Amino acid sequence: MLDTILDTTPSDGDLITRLQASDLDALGILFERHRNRVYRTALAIVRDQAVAEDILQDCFLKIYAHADRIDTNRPLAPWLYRVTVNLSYTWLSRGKNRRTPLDNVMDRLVSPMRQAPDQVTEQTELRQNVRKAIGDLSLDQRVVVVLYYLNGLSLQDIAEILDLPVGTVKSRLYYARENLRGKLGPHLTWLPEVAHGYI
Amino acid sequence: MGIYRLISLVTRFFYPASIKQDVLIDSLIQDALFDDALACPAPDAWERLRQIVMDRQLKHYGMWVLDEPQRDPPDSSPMPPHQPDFERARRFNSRYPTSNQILRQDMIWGGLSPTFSIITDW
Repeated sequence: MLDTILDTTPSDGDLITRLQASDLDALGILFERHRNRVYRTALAIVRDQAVAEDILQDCFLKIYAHADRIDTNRPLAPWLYRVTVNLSYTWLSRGKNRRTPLDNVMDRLVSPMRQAPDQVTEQTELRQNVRKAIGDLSLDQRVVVVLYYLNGLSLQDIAEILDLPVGTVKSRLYYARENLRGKLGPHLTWLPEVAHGYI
Repeated sequence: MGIYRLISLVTRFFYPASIKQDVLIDSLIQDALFDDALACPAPDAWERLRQIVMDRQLKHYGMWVLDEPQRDPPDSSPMPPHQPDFERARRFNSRYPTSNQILRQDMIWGGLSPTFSIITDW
């Protein structure tokens, strides 16, 4: 039964081929299949839910508009990541990242209620500091951090997505972690959970 | 600084020896990105996308990206007025509401009476 289902599940290449004939259902299947990775990557880079939604839309509009030019023999995911990163660059370069989204404020207010208050305060504060430190990284380093830690991609995959040598990706990741360590240094020393390796 | 020291520094800058596993930093970053790893787009995201594709007929009007302003289809609406000109005209009209009537009367009389140069030359 499972084999039958797997056999009938169309590959990305098949769906792109259908999309080249303006099959909107094929776009729907691709959207269901890849929407989370696109949305989460964009959200982690731009830190704004509304913008991440727009980037998700634009990314799949791009697939639809350029279906004729997509190579069906190559995997789609790296191309999607590249488009997502490029669209995020575009948005960030327009300087819209200065406003504080209301959702982030709401998230700060609501999320600490899930655990005990004393633990929550420390963990939330630490998490906020780490998030802020990641947000303060240079865009080059932030993108590598997101692709590596959030999406679990290998250095080779990231190098392919960003069209960079593997050594450069490795270097960016190395210095991103050094920067984070430098920025978080004061926060890491006093927190007992961290000091004892519980986090 | 010797040349070998310089080369080694440059090499290390571009190609760090390895990505050492730092459990603490790794776990902190993963924890900070945890919310993003669980985030999902709005439930109506696909419906919105489908609607955009159908409304804009994307195949015919080209790509719609964040960078590119939305364009009207060819031969649709006229060009919008230039904002300062439009504002100046609006202010003038509100300040001199009868100016349009005067202008219209002048045009009518101008059509009936001889021109100034004809009168003076006569």
